[in-house]
Amino acid sequence: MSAARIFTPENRLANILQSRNGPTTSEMLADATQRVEALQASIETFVAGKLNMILPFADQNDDVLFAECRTLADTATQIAEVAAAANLGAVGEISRGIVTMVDGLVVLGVWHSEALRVHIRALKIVTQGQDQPVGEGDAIVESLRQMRMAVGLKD
Amino acid sequence: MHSTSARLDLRKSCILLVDDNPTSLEMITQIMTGFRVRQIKACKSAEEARIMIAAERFDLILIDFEMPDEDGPSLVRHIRSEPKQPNHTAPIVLLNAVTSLHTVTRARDVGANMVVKKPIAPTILLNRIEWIARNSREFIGSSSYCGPDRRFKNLPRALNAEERRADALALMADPARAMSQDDVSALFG
Repeated sequence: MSAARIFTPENRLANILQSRNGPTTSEMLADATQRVEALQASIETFVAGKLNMILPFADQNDDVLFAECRTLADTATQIAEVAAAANLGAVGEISRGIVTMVDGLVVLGVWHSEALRVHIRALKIVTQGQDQPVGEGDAIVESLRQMRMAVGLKD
Repeated sequence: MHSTSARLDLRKSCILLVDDNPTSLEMITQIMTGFRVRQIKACKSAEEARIMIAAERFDLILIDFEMPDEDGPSLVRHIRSEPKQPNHTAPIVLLNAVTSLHTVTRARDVGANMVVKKPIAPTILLNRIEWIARNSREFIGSSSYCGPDRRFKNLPRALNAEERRADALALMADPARAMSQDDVSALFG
């Protein structure tokens, strides 16, 4: 066991509080939000590219799905990191669910190929155009969450 | 939560962003630009970041949790383990799309100041930056941990810290569920 050293470092952000002529937080937030909204088209393109990589996994057999699960999770993570910022909340949440499914294997040893395939098919459904009833994406997200709970992966 | 009429001045702050996801990196860059930060350095890997971290002093470092080759927690541990480097005690925020107790606990145990959920909401990020600015936390350095001391002593609790504790206790009763941003913040005191 080693000794613990306790010290107080300089707070490098403390000076941001000393502002008299800086912008207000509402101005900063409005500008930041507007800038994120301006990225919507590029986020949509990025997500579409990643979905093209994920969706073919729905038709793969168990062995391929298992062998490639890390690739699948990494791609789903990249979607989950940005999708909601482009009003693709359901796509982001389902992708997050895919990551949870794969992490379930790594952390808890839980593996359910069919449940994973259902997630991938759900991604296809929620991205299939404007003909969906209002709220269907949320309903799908909730159903998947309950399915994950049923196999021992609580959100 | 900050008042909307409060003023924060990040114009002179120098901030490092590390994220392998190019779209996410662009998003964070735009948010920081919206916060009026003028000096933003962006890296796409931990390897690239290690070089910048050794050479330049940053006022805030934002690091993606999930990256290939070397992930965010590993990079944080590296920063905290090098007392002679200019960013040994720099404020570090880890960013993660998945906020399970497992990942958040790991972030805390390597010495990160905070975890923020992706995709980043500007209001959450600004709130956390302000929280760090108002909290001059002591650090603890030992052979196995270097980072903020999360114990409350005589410091005034900042912002809504008391509520965060309550959230943390509720969370511990059900550790398997994913965490909200408030749950995550609770674990960072």
